[in-house]
Amino acid sequence: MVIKKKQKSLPHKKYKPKLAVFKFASCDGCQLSLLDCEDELLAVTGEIEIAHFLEASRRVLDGPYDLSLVEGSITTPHDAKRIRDVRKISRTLVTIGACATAGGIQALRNFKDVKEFVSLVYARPQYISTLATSTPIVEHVPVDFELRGCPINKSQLVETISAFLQGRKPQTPTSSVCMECKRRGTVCVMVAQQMACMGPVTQDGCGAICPAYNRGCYGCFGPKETTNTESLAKWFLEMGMKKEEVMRTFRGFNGYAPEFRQESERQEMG
Amino acid sequence: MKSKTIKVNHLARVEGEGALDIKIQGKKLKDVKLRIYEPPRFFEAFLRGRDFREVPDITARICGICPIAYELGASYAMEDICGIKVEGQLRALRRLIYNGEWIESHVLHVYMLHAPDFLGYQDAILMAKDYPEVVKRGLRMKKIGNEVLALLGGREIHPVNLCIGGFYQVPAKQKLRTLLDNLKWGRDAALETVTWVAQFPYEDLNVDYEFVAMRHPDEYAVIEGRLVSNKGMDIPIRGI
Repeated sequence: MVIKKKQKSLPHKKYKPKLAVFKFASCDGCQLSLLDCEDELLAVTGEIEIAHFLEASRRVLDGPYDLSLVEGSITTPHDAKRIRDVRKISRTLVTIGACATAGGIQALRNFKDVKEFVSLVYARPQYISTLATSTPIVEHVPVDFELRGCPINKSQLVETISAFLQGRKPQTPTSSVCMECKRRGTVCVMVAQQMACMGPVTQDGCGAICPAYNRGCYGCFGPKETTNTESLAKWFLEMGMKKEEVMRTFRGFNGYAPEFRQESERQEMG
Repeated sequence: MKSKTIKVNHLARVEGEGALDIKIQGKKLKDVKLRIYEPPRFFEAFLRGRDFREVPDITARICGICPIAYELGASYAMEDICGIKVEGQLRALRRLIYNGEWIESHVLHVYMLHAPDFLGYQDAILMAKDYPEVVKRGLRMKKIGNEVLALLGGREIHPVNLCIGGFYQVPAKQKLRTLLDNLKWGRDAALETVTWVAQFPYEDLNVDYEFVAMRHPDEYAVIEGRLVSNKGMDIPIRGI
């Protein structure tokens, strides 16, 4: 009799994978993308247990976590250690955004002297603990998937979480912003208006919004695969841009991504 | 006397990162320390040498929750240097997109960050189990703020359409009209929110604070105004 009762009171409970969100040096924008999924949020939490997401909840469940989303770059000795701890308790680790994937805008320090930066910004530099560089997560620990963008696109985030739940690879395009402009029917701002546009060397994912709003792409999704940055730089120079301007154009939110970094250094050298 | 220390190593549901140490002796509060451990990012330093037109997009990245504040702040600073003033419909559109950010960010704050504390939940998702309609109302309001941002700015976070002098492209009237019905619903929802929040239990606490806010003679001070306080401070923000 007792056994029967026990069986009744234990219905099959679906295991909900544990999701964790971790923040390093960043602006909070990429993790906000998850809360910006207003229509999907309650449905997502039906499938996934939000186990560690300090911006949204003070409930913290212990690891290991099935899926960890990591925002931000590594800029302090403390964070360089913390990311290794995060990796240890994460079955799958996905970086979200340009900071975690390429070092972010704060990686502009990598081209300069950080000591000068500290003394310029802070009245009491002795309180500041910082590394000389801002580096992407992949320079510290193995990463399972990188989601691009400054900020990430929330549809791509939902796709990535769904793909993880179904055990498949996320379907995110690796083509250039140019392809999306053609699909949208946006007239090329570089051909028609001689605007500097990073579209040809930048990975799509934003939906090619900048040219649709009458400005050149500024590369916030980082380099597409097999880019020809040298050719685009040549075009920029032929349009009348100075070398220094071309250098700056490549040295933005993804300026430390290898392809963009090499091109900006090429322009800087001469 | 018995003393007690409360250590919160990671504050949750705040915009940013911090920790809080509280020391209590007997029934008296002895010490409170708020530690902000966000790593420094050095915007002031790496902005040197950039083209002035690049600045608003860069400063936006200070905060992904309120990028318009930084885009507009940087634009005003550059416009002051250039000696230009953005007025008329462009100013109205700037005010509109900033209001979109206020709606998005403040609804996030009220519904998802603060309300769970008042009602005794760990987060808004758990709160939704008992208050599904309230949380859904909040999410819809938040979405409407994001729609304003996306329509005028191209996207919700780090919008791309703002520049020194105004906008890269002004929206078509017809497109702006599509916001109307939702915004009308949102006005009623905002009033319901005030009624709801007014019922929260607040401690009867009076502290001698100096409250600081922006003030504008003709409008609710969102994009322009002077910095004033309840103790007589009154200083201009621009053109010092």
